[in-house]
Amino acid sequence: MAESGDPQGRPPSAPRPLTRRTLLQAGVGAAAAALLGAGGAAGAPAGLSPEEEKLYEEARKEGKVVWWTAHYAQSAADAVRDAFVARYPGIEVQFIRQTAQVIYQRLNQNLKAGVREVDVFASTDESHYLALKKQGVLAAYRPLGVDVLPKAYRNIDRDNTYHVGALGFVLINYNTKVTTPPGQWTDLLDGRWKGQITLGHPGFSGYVGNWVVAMWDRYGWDYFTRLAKNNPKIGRSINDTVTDIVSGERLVGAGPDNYSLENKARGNPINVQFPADGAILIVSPVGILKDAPHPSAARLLESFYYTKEYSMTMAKVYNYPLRADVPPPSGVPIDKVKWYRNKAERLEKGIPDAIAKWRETFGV
Amino acid sequence: MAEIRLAHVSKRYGQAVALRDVTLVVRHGELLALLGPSGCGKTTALQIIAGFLVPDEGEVWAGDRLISSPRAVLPPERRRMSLVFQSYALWPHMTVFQNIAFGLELRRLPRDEIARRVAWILEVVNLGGLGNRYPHELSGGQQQRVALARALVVQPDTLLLDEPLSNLDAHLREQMRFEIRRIHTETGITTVYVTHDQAEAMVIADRIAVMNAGRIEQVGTPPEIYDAPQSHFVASFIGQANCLPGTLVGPALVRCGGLQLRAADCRAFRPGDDVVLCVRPPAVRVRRTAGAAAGDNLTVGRLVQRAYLGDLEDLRIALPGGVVVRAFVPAGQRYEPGEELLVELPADACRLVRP
Amino acid sequence: MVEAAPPLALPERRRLDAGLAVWLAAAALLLFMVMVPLLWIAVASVHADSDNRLTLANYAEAFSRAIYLRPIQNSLTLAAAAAAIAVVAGTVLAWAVSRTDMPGRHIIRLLAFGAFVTPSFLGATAWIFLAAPNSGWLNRGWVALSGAARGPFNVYSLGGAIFVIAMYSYPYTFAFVSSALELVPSEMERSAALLGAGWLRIAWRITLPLVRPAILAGALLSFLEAIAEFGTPAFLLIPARQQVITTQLYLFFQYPSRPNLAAAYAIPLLLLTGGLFAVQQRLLRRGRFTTVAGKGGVRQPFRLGPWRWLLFGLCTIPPLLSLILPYAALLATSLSRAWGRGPIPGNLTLYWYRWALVDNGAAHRAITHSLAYAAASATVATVLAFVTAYAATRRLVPGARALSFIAMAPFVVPGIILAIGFFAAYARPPLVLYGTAWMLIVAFATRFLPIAYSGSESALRAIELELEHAARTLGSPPIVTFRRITLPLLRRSVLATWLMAFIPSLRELSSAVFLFTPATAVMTTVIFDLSDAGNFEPVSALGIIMMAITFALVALAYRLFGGTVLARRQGA
Repeated sequence: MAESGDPQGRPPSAPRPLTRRTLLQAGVGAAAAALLGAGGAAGAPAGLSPEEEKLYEEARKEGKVVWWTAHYAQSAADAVRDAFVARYPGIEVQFIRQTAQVIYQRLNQNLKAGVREVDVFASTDESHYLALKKQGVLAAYRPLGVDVLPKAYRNIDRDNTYHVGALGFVLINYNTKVTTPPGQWTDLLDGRWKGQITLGHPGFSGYVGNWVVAMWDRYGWDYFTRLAKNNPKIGRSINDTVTDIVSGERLVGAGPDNYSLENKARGNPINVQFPADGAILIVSPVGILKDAPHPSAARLLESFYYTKEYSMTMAKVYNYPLRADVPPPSGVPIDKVKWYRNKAERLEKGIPDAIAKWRETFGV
Repeated sequence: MAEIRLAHVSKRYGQAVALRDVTLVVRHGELLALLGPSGCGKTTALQIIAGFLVPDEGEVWAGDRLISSPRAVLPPERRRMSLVFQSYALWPHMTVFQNIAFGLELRRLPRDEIARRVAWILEVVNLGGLGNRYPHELSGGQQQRVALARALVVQPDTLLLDEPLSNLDAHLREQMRFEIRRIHTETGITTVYVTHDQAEAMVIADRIAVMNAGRIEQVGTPPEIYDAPQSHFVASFIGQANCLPGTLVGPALVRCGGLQLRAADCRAFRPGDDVVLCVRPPAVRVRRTAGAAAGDNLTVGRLVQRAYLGDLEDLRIALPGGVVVRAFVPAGQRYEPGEELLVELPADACRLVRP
Repeated sequence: MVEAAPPLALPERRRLDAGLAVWLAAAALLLFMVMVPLLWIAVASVHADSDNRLTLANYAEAFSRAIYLRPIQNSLTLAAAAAAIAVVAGTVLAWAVSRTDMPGRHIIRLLAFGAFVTPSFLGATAWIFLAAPNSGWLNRGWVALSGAARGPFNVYSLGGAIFVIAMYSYPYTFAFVSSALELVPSEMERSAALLGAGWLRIAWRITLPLVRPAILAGALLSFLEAIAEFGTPAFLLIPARQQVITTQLYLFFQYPSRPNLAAAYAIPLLLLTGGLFAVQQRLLRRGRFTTVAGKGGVRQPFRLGPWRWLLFGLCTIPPLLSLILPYAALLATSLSRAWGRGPIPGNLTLYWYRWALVDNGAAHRAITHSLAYAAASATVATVLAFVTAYAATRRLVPGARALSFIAMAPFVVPGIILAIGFFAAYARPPLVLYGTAWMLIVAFATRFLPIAYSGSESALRAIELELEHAARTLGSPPIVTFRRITLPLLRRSVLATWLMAFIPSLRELSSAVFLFTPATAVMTTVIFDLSDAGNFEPVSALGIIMMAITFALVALAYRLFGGTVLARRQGA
């Protein structure tokens, strides 16, 4: 049974009182300074806890951190990088944003070849971490500030080899030309959307993989056999659906909340619809590699996920903030959304199977 | 001692045989011409002497040093030989001075010594003052001289020349023949000179080796080669010759078709041997039949064709049995085609050679 | 007198022959670059992905399942159709440019060269903007003008991919045929004209049959390129839910990856390309057209009268479709905040150039990497090619011809397969290049070694052997001769060869996409990665930057060497 929540049920993100330490580190002044890019030029910025300061000091000696993320769009990753560098000057963030299965595949190739390259690995497919953990390549680390998270997200791995890094939904996105968007997932099967649907690919995108497993489990594979008849356009990343909708190439898609909303805010003709049969909640983990070339910088980056700056940056780029003290950008708090979430154990076998079946059904 | 000896050298390219069992001595200080038609193997022989080709069989010696054999070849740069190419092979990216100085630089001579020697050799080849030109700024004859200077300035033991004059026009070619001869006389370097031009070989060479189809046909001084050819090929290749195939029937007596001819000598042959009787066209005597006298080597023929050559006439006369001979006679005789003529092939001008 | 001077002695010779050592190093490098990766593909193909046991199951799986067979069929269709279009376009253009008095011949030639230099995946990207079924500008224009429900073009289709690939491979046929036509003397055509044949008949019956080998060579090259092409099918066919061999190979490398299955799947493609090449060589040998071998006599263009304008109109179509429209589209997109909104005021920005060159570390690192790796690989390829070609043309050592064969072998190896071989060979101990710049540098060098080799071989053949022999007889050992005589004479050819290897390295995608890690990303892989989420504005900006660098280099080469060197190498 998959975990699920609905607006009437127990909210997964009960607000939590802030500790003294997080209050200190999220001091308004420091946060504002960081967001304005005015974080201290030389020396440690103000408002760092002694632990954080020590970590920053060590990280600065390493000079850089290598971060592979699939969590959000390129623009969001750019913003996170900027916020991190503002808070911790002197540390270069080398990052790539790629789809989950692509960075996972690259990581596996690196591991096999003995190439040490990545410090912080942020996929959208939770099952990757189960596999990596079994291989024993993840470092156990409890990041600073992780305790400020809502309880539901505080201990997603009890061995502390990975933690929650981002929250998002797969939902229905559509071009504003459409007056009555599909209200639920099964509406996409309607012949009315023939030639008008855009999808990502589970072989690339972790969001799409999650969505495919969820649809499969709830409606059976038949859902996709029928969907294929509507001749959807298949991209790679789930974010590709946003491009298709914005450009008018397609009208509706199974897309991400964050990048769709970011584009909507920029004035593009796109909107999102939370499906009545449940948006797919993606809890994207983040972990540190055991043989990370820059271990301290890696810890600093992972801890950064739980700062207020990070959550504010998330909100700014229309992602759900991790912390409860930052309001969600969509105006719809997670606890007001009807959502469905796959269990990590189900994804572990489900996604490779889904990819194989997808190839049979869609030909790519 | 820079005598070059080729001993039983053979070279094949796949099925084609370029050299067959060539044995040849180039004496110290002499200028030997390798003469033959194109494809006779003379350039192959030169390339083997220079060390660019490996013989399939046989050996090449320089003095008492074995320099080429099928097993080992002393590379060209260790042979102290200089080669002048048909194309001159002047390096287009270097000036005349640099071209000539190259070999001296390899010998690590001091810079002023190089300058001195280059200036001196430029004088020898009459190119003084052209050191700063590039090859393309020179005439063909000048390029030829630069090539010669570049080869000579390193004072090689042996100088090899591969058809060096064939790219020059007729007038310049004649001039350069004497020039090369003069330089050889001055330097005394053992020289092998490859050419297909028999007149050139005659003028330049101390001795000539005539080659044909990968073999040496005959080696000798120019007069020896001209006056006493030893094979059909040599006789016909050097100057013009009437070559009548026949059989030796008695002492110095040859039957050629329907004729019985007496030859100058027949030391090398036995009766019954197939031979070729050679007689050069200027030696053939022609008269009108009126008042004919009987005698040796005298026969009646019919004039087939007449060509006017200025002070000579070139006659083609059909003899009994179908043999046609050429005769050069003083102009002004007014023989007419179809006319019966008395032809004499003087016995002392008739030489027997191998067919 | 010469005798007056003291005898001149040559310095003593070193024991070790430096030339032989250099040659041995070249041989080892060739084995390492070409033979080992190819062997590894064969080895990998008979081992199971799961437990590495020896098996033929990979072949059974690859060639029994419909979803793997369909891409093969698609690839063959794609390559054959693209080659056919490219050959027709290339031949017509070549004939018009070299045999007629059509106006603008020089421009057409230049534009053909521009299409040759442009990688087709950039063209594919541009054609998405132009001819995506609903959002493409051409379709939108059509809808606006005609009031139809939708436009006529759909670039997301096999036909779309065929069209795009053909538009970037017609320059092969163009180059081959136009240089062959330069050698056909006009007498041949004139004698037909005297017999009363019109120009169309002459072209069809006399001229074109004479250059058949060139047309054939162009067709083969186009086919090989099309079947090996990865970027365009990835951009256009995955959305269309169609697969070709190369995209299928790519998917085998995606999660859950099947590298050994990929190796088995690659082998028939390798046999096909190798076989085609052998067939073409045989055909060329048999149908030897002696007139085309030598230098022709006088060449007089056909006077077409008013037809020449029609022909000119016809000849502008391929350049229009391969260069003018695509570059306009790329430029417009790269200057847009959001390309979907079209070129309207307020949508104009230089942001993406700033992003690529300054703001985004990954992008500007990729630009630096591209330049550095392309320079390094061009250097490796050029040096290796010249050393090998020198040994082969001068028969310096036994077996040198075999080496030249190895140097030319990558010609028939599609980039993606070479990459699979490299990955199999050098992403594991004992020699791990994966994760380092060398992985890409060596792969690029291998991939473009045939270009460098044929360039250096013809350059070396153009140098009279006697120039070197003259130096040898004067006492210069081979290595000194090479350095003092051959190399200075080759200076321009070396530079031209280097550029001819540099340019394709700069725009190489199909092998890079397998071999890079994010730390060694290059422009093309960043473009490819960005395209996965429809980030077309930065893709276009990076593409424009890449092509600006390329065209600047081409212009430089043009100035240095004139057009002939480049034109001649187009098809090498």
